[in-house]
Amino acid sequence: MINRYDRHIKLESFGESGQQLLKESKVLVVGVGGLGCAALPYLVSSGVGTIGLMDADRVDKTNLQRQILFSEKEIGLPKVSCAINRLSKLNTEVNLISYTFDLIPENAEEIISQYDVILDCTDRFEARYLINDACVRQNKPWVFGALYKFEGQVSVFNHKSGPTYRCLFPFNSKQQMLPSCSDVGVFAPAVGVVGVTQASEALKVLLDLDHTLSGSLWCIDLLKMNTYTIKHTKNQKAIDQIKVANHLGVKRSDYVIDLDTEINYEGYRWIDLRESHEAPQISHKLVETLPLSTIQDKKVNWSQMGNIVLFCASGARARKLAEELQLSNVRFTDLGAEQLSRKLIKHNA
Amino acid sequence: MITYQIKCFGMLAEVIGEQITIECNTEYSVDELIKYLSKDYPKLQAIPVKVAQNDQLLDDSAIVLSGTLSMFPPFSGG
Repeated sequence: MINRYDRHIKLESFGESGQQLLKESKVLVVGVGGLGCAALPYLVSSGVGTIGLMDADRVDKTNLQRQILFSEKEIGLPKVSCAINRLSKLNTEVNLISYTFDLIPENAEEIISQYDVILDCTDRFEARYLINDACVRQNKPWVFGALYKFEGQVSVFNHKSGPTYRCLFPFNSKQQMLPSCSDVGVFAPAVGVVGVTQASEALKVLLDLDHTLSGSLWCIDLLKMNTYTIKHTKNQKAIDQIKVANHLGVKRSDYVIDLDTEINYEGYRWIDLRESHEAPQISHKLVETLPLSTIQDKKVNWSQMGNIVLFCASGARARKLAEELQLSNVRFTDLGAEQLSRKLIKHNA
Repeated sequence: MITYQIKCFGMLAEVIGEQITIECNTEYSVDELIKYLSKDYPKLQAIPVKVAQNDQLLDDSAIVLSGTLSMFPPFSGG
């Protein structure tokens, strides 16, 4: 009988044993957006035995330009179930597992511990630090992929004691201010190239092949057709910290904004959370008042507000709200209203 | 005179330009170089920057040798 994996089995580095290894392997794909839609078909067609798909989102019209597993009729439906519906037709031998919720610090280690390789197909820095930290603690390799317009970056982290994401990109609060695909757009084929490369690296890691991107950041520009690879090294201290930290991913207090570095004040909406009776009143073009007591009634859609900085009289209320919201566009300052007002004036903002 | 030919990627190419050449009197560390460039390109202060030379990532405190280097930020889209 002809084996459906014949063309892989014929490769010397695969063979029957390699194909059997894939069948026994488990891969978790975190994020079924552009990258996930590109990576998943190759993992499924290659016969990876068990594949977990994780995403809490539903299909949106603007996804269709690059998220090629979804059809027009599926707008509004959960991404994971649409993807599983499509992929199960591709290969009935693969066990597809659905997670219709997000990876969070509370579930990350438990879920990741059940897989051999994790693919980061998310679009947020917070998710990447969380995947990284959980993978370090559970000793799992993971494949990173990310995009900016026509450009992509791919690397393999925590593979055979190699460098981790935090070794290459230590947490930096400035990251939270970098624009996302929904802000600046993204070239659909670039998403495809990066996602497929992630699938390729995942298969290489599963088969224990040489020349993975562990310790290397592979970069591609689809507009100029340039590729380059940058070698990076391990920061053992950063890895040791992950292992003993009492939290996973981005620390909640990382939502504080550093006003000592020269930041662009005009790039933010400054939200005064104080109640109307609290003095002094600040009248400034960049400052908006939103008393904390009114937030519940106003049903504020924080994620749609652009980059904002919360402040109050001492910073306590601002910190609490920013940490509760855990949104990359919402940060806080622990400067009091008076001090902040002076800063805004000083910087001619 | 030290000459740095800097290739920029991602958002940095929009802030600084795809490629620039600067001349300075002394070799800078990565941190110092970014601070120096920030005077001409203030938007740089809001971007996390990594610097590589000879295809090898440099530590922030490493001295950048005269020659070609790459500057890039982490990407976040997916």
